[in-house]
Formats: sequence, structure tokens, C-alpha cells
Amino acid sequence: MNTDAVLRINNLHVHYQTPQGAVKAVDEVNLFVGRGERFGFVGESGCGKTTTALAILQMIQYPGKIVAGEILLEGKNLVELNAEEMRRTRWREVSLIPQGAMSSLNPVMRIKDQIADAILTHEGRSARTGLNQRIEDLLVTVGLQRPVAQMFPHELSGGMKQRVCVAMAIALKPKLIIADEPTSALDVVVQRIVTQTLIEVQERIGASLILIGHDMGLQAQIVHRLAIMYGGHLVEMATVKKIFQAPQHPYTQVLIGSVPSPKTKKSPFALPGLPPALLNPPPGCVFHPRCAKALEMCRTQVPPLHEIQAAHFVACHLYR
Amino acid sequence: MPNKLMTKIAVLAAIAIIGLLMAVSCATPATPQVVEKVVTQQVEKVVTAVVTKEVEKMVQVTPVPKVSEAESLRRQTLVMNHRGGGIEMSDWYNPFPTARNMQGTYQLMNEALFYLNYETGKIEPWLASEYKYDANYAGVTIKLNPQAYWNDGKPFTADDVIFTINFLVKNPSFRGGALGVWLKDFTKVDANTVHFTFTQSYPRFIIEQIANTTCNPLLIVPQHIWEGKDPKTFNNYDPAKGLPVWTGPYKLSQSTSSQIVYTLDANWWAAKAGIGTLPAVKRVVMLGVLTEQEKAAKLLLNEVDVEPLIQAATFSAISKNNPKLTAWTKESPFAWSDPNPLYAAINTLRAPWNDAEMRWALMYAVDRQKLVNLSFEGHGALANTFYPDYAPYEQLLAKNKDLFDKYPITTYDPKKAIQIIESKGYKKVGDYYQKDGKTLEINMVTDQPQQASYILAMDQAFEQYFKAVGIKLNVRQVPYSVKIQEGLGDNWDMWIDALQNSPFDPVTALLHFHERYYKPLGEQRTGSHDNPSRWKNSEYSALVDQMSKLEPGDPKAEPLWRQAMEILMKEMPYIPIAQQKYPETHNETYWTGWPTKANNYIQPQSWCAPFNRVIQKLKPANP
Amino acid sequence: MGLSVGYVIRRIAMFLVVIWVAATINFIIPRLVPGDPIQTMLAHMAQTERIENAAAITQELRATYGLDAPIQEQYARYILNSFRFDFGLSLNQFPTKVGDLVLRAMPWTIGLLATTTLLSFGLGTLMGALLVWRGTPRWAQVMLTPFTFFAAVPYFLLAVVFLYLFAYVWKILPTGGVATAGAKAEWTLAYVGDVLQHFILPAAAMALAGLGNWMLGIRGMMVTTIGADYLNLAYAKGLTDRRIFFRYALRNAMLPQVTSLVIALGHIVSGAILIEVIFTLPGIGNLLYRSIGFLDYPMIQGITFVLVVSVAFSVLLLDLFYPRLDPRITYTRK
Repeated sequence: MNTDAVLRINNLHVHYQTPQGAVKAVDEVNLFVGRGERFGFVGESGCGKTTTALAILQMIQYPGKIVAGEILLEGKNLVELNAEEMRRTRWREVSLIPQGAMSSLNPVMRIKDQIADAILTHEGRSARTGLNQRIEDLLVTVGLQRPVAQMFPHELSGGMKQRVCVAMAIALKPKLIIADEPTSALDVVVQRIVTQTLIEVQERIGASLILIGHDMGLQAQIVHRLAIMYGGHLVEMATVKKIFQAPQHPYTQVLIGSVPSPKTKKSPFALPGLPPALLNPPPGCVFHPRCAKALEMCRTQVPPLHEIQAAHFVACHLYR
Repeated sequence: MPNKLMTKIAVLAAIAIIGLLMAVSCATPATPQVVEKVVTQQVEKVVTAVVTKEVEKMVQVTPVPKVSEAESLRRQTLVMNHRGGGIEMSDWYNPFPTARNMQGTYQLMNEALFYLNYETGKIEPWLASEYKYDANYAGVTIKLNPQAYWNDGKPFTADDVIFTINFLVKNPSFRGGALGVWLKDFTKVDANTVHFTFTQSYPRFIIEQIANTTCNPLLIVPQHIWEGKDPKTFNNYDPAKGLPVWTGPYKLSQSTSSQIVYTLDANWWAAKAGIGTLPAVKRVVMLGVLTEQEKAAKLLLNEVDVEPLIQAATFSAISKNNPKLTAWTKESPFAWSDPNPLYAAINTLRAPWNDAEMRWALMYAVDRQKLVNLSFEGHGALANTFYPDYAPYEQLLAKNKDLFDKYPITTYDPKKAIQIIESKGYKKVGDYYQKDGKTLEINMVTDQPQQASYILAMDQAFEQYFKAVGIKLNVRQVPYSVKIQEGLGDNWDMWIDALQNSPFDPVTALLHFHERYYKPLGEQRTGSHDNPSRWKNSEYSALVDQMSKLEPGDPKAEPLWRQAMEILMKEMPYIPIAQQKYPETHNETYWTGWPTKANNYIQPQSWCAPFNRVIQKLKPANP
Repeated sequence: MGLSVGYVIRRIAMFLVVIWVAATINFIIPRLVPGDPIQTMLAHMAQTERIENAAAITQELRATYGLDAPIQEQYARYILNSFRFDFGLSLNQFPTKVGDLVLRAMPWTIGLLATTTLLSFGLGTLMGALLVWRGTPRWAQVMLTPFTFFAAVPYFLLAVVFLYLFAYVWKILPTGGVATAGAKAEWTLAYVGDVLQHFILPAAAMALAGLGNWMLGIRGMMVTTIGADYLNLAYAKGLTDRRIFFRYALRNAMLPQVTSLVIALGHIVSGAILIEVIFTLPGIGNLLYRSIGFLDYPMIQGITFVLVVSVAFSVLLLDLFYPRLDPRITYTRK
């Protein structure tokens, strides 16, 4: 793992404006992703992990808005780019493997045209020569057959579609690939194969990978480092090893504890209460209403992200 | 990006709009001929200019007179509209197998042996110079005008007449084919004389079969063109080859389904022969405007010079805006009458209307003057007989005014109607009279309101007036063709139609009620005008027979007419309703000299043959 | 392309059956409704001349129209002739052939309606899609919205208003007809320009009235499409807004519109009756209008038949070519 950061997010705030007030979908997030690193984002639905990913691509849709913070991609602040500059940056430097691969391909275009679309838009007409060959090679890279290029999405299975998405994502050899729960719709066997393919191609082109998901087990096998999000806040960030061996934040501890294990055969632990309402989050630490170890100050003060050990960040008053 | 995309679309739209505007402005300069001229003139100019290198000078010296060219062309043109709708059969110029009135052809291109002048009541010779009946009207000798020739230069002769009569007799369904019923023989006497022998005494042969009673006189065709052609399928249309060949003052120059263009034939025989005047109108355009709004708009914009069919109410409105628009009279209802007044036939075989007194109750029950005013939006003209209000009839009726005092046809007297009904043993139960448990009803068949604008108000007025005297009216409004078919049957008490009439011969209308057309209940009648009332009166029929043997205008006919008329008025097998008034509108912006009631040299029928006389009288107004 | 030979044959057979049924209905209807066309012709003749031989004429006309033959023979001949587009002689314009009259009127109608239908489809679809496209600036959306109002305005009303304003009040466009009175019908620039100028008002009325419907149609589909996942991915791919709009959003949203368009194109042969009447255009609508007034059965049947055939043919073409538009549709038997 290289130490220089491809992506650095500083103090990111994303709000959704509603008539009732601002929904703080991402609140004070700081992180970095190293070159060639596989970085995991974990949290329950609505915790802000997908919003963070969309913020990187500058694809937050109205009424959402990045209200503060920087997103530095190799030192370039994406937040400050104008629309056209950002469009050029997308895919060329940051690509996306979408959540619903089943419906993410245009049903009326052939696979090769959809891949070619991305290539030609960014590389221009000069890319036309050998384009078909290049697309077929890409498909082979992700374990598909060449004739798939001529097919329409409805002629492919879910796994094949997801591979097409992977192939598309690496077409321009971006520096960063964001995979948003890429395998959630697939069965376990296919999931494993697709994931394997993803890792292979990511390593081959040397891109960094942000893997968004809620499956701790899957993350553990893939990523180098993991960030845990809760209620729009990043609550803990460390290497996979540290997170699994010594989770610090009470929420992380609950998450790790909920991973089923055939050895212990314990019943999965359920966290009491509901995820916080982001429109009107509880004061202090957002997790305190469900936290067994909550202190008095947790009710009033927001805990900052704190490096408690080398490269192990936790946002919790317990470790001040 | 989003904004950029929109900008591009906006630019494209702007270009498209500018392009469209340019196309419009290019096409705008009035008539195409002018554009053509302008273009060629300009091309010539530029060529000259390049040679002489005095471009600016050239352009300044001769500016193109754009507007006046189109205008001067317009001033030589008469624009007419087709009566009753669009142009039909634009490539069919054979008048015989069709029931359609080939408008334009009759008025402008072909001519009649004799024309009927409804105003003077005279038969005016044209292609024929005279006629003379044999003793007892057993036949007739017709002399043709020896100076007449076809517009291809060939003489018009007795051979053409014999040839035409020949194929008419062989084809009874042809227009004019009914002629065959009356002819025993027809022969050429010499190059300009023909003789017809009738099957029976027929003093109306010229007026009914040759001049014809309404629009379409008997047409004679050139033998040298029609010989060897099948008259059922020959379309007689090929302007490039000079077809159709007729004798009239205009030749066909273009015929499409949107307009027909005729141009003046400077060689017209009648002008050369001195019996006619070469018209000042150089070109006639026939349009096919359908809607009342567009007719009005075109008249207001002076785009049309003569419009044959418009509602009196419309004329009243537009003539206020354009004082150049005139009609037959200055006062309402403006129009000259159609020869066929509106009437209601009463089925005299169905009880209780088989009783003449009950039929008179119907006459008393309805304020027909009011009904007509309602139906024609304040511009109605009541009919007191089945005759049109033309000068010859007006005179005849005025002389016999005492008949109308004796039989008060136009008197509205509901009390008298009730009195008659009650005298027949009817008792009022609720709104209506009853006898033997049966309500007093009358079943009427009319056209649908879509067919003519007056129907709705007229039917409602009848219903109200009948109800006021306790008669229940049941109306069936049906499409025209259904009405005609129903009329031939007997499943009605009252049936409304326009009675086919002669412009000045009183016998024609009387004949419709002759017993020879009588059919008992259950039998279909043969023709829609043939005794629809199923009325049978031998005394009356004998009188009509006697009159039929006399030539129209014979003073011996008048007392017979009076007797027959009295029987008819006593019996009243029909109810006269209204004169049909559709103001033929004349636009005096470009042409003057139109016929009016004050200047009644002929009837205003621009859709019929006698318009041939009108167009000779038109003078340019030079606005 | 998802088509099997068997399917195509079945589909064409179906098409022929539809035409046969149409011809049969055409044959039956006039024989059921009251009103004898031959008597109507006679009545028209009787208005202008005295007819003493009505029975003979009726007999002759019945023979001309083949109405004296046994009913089976009439039917067989009718079906056969229908397939040859021979509908006999018009009653109203006797003795012209219905086929000739229809053929002569067709170019005007198709010229006007094909142009305006395609124009209003193209513009309406584009405008309706832009109406809900997030890339459209606010001012443009505000300007586009009023056009949907035309979905509620009948074309003939627009036509009358246009006629009043442009022809009567401002006098910048002609009142009606296809050319200036007296203009020579020939293939010159001047004449074609003249004709085009006469077509501006009817075309504008038709196109504008159609616009609103197409706009509303595409708007609904577009809203659904805009939420689709493939649109999001297209954005992430950094495609230009234009490409996303046309290839991804509009291309998918307009599939149902295409069906409507094909049906609409199939219908144009029957003409837009009122527009042709209002503007005195010698097209099929005008012909049909007058034929109905006269109950000219052969003519009405001819036009109806052409209409049925053209709609059926359009639908046939649509069925055969739809797989090209939407690859998800397939007619191969699994």
C-alpha cells in the first residue's frame, strides 16, 4: 500500500434542503484513500456512505448540496471545478460501478456502444481505431466472451451485466473506482466471482477502489482499510485487521459482534432503537441514544475524529 | 452542458424560424405569374447590367411595377364560387351521364338553343334562331343560327343536333334522355333546320325539353368530336388538344380540384355574328369554397366577385361592412327566389288527414309568416302557393286575388282550427285532442338540420303551433337520401320538400298533382315530385290535361287554371311554406352591371346557363 | 432481429384478414341502413328536369352498379374489386371512378398531414422532453409550458382563429384554397411557393394543435426515464448532456410515442376533415365530408377502406420494425 493519498476528503458536509430544514446526510467527514488502496465504506442504509461517494463524483442531486469541505483528487479540489471540468474528470479519473447493475445499462443500446460511449466521449475520435478490439479485450478481461459486445443488456444475466459494468469502469484506467454495493443483487457464488474479478482488474490497472457495502464479511476479505459511518458521521477508520481485532467505537463493536460465526453459533445481536433522524439529529454524539456506554458529555458534545493509535481513527468521547 | 444544449437548440430554432420567414417573404409577392416575370426581368436586367457595367443605374431606371401587375390581371378576372360546395369532377366534361350540375360549363363554355328569361317570361333564341310548332303541337321545326360555329372553327349544324338527340334517346338515364319518351321521330330538314315529331300533342316541348325549365338546357355536342366515342365513358377533357369543344365565349385553360380557369375566346361566334357582345372579362376563375365563414371572408376581402349561395343573415351582416356587395334587392330578404318553393305534402290517404277540412285546420293552425321568419333568421319570404314570386306568376295571382279572399291560405286562425277539429268529434285530453282513445297526431318527415340551416327552427315552430291547437307532431329528421326514399313510400302524413317548378308556366306545378301519378297506399311512387300527396281528383286532372294541350301563355289557359286552382285550394293537399331565398352576392369592386330587381334583364343565377347573358353585360369598375 | 419467418407470415396473413373483414363490413353496412342512393341520384336529376321515365332510369342505374345481381355475386365481386382498390363509380360525382378521385385528393392530404404530423411529433417530443429535463434553464421551461395548453384546443378552432387574424385582420396570408385564384398549376418555383404559402395556416394550426398532445405524452414518459439507473450511470460516465438527453433519456422515453406516431400516420389518409373544409383544400377530408353529406356510399367505402388498409399496414410495419427500436421486444418463439 502506497502512502501518498489519491483522494483526500476534508471536512465534507452534504445537506439536503427540505421545507422542514436541512437534512445533514454527510456531516464533517474526513478521510483519505491511498494509491492502489482498497478502501471500504460500511454502515447501515441512510448512513451517508453512498452520498459521500456521489459527492466525490459531484453527482449530488437537488435538493442535496455540498455545503462545505474539500474533495481533493490528486490535489485537485473537485468541489471547485465547474460543470464541464467535472464532466471531463468523471470516468477518466473516477469511475463508478453502480449499485443496481441490473438496471444500469441502457436497454436499447448494444454493450459495445455503451462502452464506446464512455471511451469516445473522453478520448475523442482518435479512439475509433481499434475500438472494437479494445472493447472486446475489456470484456475478456472481466471474464466475458467477445460476442457479448454485440448483445443487448436484456440478453445478459445479472452477473454478466455486473461484469460489463466492471469492464466499463476500467475502460479509461481511472485513478479511482467507486463500487457502490456492486454485488448486492447477486447470489453468493456469483458475488464471489465478480468480486474476485474486480480485485484482479483493479490491481492490474493500479487504481484505488472505494467499496461501499454493509456486508462486513465481504469487506473483510477485500479491502485494506475500512471506514465505519453512522448517521452521516464517520465514526471509525482503520485497517481491516485493527477493526476486526480491536474495534473501538461502540457502534463498530456492535457491527463486528453481529457478524455470524459458525464457531460460536451465537444468535445475531440486534442493536436496540432506530437509526437517527438526520433532519433533527440528537445533540452531541449521534449514536448516544443507542449506545450502552454513553457518557453525560455524549449528550451535549459532538466527538471529533481522533487518531487514538497510528492510523486508527475513532470519533468517541470514551477515548479522549 | 445543460445550458449549452439549450443554447444550441435555441439557435437552431432561430435559424428555422428565420428560414421559414424567408420562405414566406419569397413567396409573398402576389401572383406567381408576377414573380415569374419579376425573376425573368431581373435576370435580363442583370445580364444587361454586367455587359454595360451600369448596374445601379439600370435598377433605378426601371423599378418593377409589382402590385399593379397583379392588380391589372385581377381587374380582367372574374372570380366565381361553385354553388353548394367544392369543385367536382375536374377532369370530366361530359354532361350527359352525370346528375351533377357542371358549373362553369353551362354558364361559360357551352350554349343553349334557347334560353329562358324568367323575368320576361320569354324564350330567347340563341344557337337556334326560331321554332315553329306543327298543327296541334304534333311536332316542331327548329331553325339553327347559320352563323354559329364551334370554338375549333367548325360550323354548328343540324347534323350535330341529330347526332346528339340520337344518343340521348338511346340512353334514357342521361341528362336530357327523358326526351326520348316524347319523340316519335326526328329528322334533318336542311343544314340548319331540324324537325321533331312527337308521340302526342306536346306544346311544352321547347320550354320543357329544349330550353328546359331550370338550370340546364339541352346541350348539343359537336359530332366531329363525339363520333365514335362512348358517351358513357368519354370524359371530353384534354385542354392540350382543345377539348372540350363548345360554342361559348370561354375556353377551358385549367381544371383542377381546387380551381377551374377559363379564358376568353376572342373568336366567339356570337360576337362576330353581332348577336352578342364580346365580354370585358378576359378570364374567369371558379373556386370551390365550402364554408359560410370563408365565403364571407372572401367577399369582404374582394377576392370573390360572385357568390351564389349564402344565408340572407350573412349577407345582411357583410354588406354593412363592404358597401360594394350587392344582391337582387336592397331590402331583406335581398335574394331572388329559387324557382322551387318549400312546401309540405300532406298524405291525403291517411286518416284523419284524408279529410280536406282537417287539412284546412292545419292551415289555420300555423302562423306561417312567423314560422318562416323564425326559420330564416328574420329574412324569410312566405309562399302562398307552390309558385315562385317571379313577375309572370305575381301578375297571374294578382288578377285572381279574389280566390285568396275566398280561401284564406295565409290566415292564421287557431280558433277556427280548434273549431274544425272539435266538429269532427275530437275531445281534448291533457294537451292533445283524442277520438276513440286515439291522440290526434301528425307524422312529419324532414331533412336533418345539418342539411339546411332552417330545418331546426321550422320543425320546432310547427311543433309549437300544432300543439297549441291540440295536434301532436312527431318529427323524423333524416338524411336527404332517406327523406327521398321515405317520400316515395307512404309512412308519413306530412313530408317537406321543394316543389320542382317552371319559371313562368303554371302548368308544371299543377301537373305534379295530376291523377296519372296517383298511387294507392302500399305502392311506391315513381318520382319524388310525382303526386307525393297521393291525391286524386278527376275534375282537376281533366282541367290540367286541357291546359297541357295549350302553349304556355295562351289566354285560353287562364280560366282553366283558375278552376283547377280553386279545386286545389279547396282540397289543400299541400301546405305552401316559403320562397327559398339565398342572396346571390355580387361584388361591385371589380365588375358592375349585375342583374338586380331594378335592372332585371335576366334572373341572377350565376350557377346556371343564363349567366352567359350576365357576363356579356359586366363592365370593369376600375377601382 | 427477433423475427421468425413464421411470425412474419402469420402477421401478414393477419393483415389480409383485417382487410377482408373491412371489405365485408363495407359491403354489408350500406345494405342495412335506410336511404336508397339510386333514388337520391334520381331526386337530384328531378330537381333540374322533368323525369317521366324514373323506372327505366332506376333499372339502368341498378344495372350499372351491379345491384341487380344476386347478393353472393355482388359480394364476391365487391371483395375482389376491393383488393384491386376498385370501388366503382362515385354517386355524387357520377360517373367518375372513386379510385381516381381518391388518388387525386391523396397528395394534398398526405402532403399537409404527413408534414404536420411529423413536424408536431418532432417538435412536440423535443419540447415536452425539454420541459422536464433538468438541464433545461428555467426561462426555457417557463416558455415551453404554455404550449401544452394546445393539447386542449381543437385544431379547427385554431384554424378559424388563424384565418381571422392572419388572413382577414392582418392580410398577410391567403384565406384558403391551394393557390392564388387563377394561378397556373405547374412545376415552377413561383407556383410551388404560392402553394406553400397557402399551406402555412392549415399546417400551423394542425402542427400547433398536435404539439400539445405529443408534449404531454413524452413528458410523462420522460419523468419516469429520468429516474432510471442507466441515466445516473450515464452521468457518472461523464457523457455530454446532449448525448445523455438524446441517446439515453429521449431514446427510451419516446418508445410509446413511436407507436402513437405510426397510428397517427396511418390515419392521415382519411384526412383532417375540418381543416380541409375550412381552408378549401381539395384533399380526402374534403371529399369525405361532401360524400357523407350526399351519402355517396362507394366514395365513403373507398375512403374507409383506404384508411383501414393504411392503419393496418402501419401497424404491420410497426410490428415488423419495432424490434429494431426496442431490442427487448422479440417475436421469436421460445
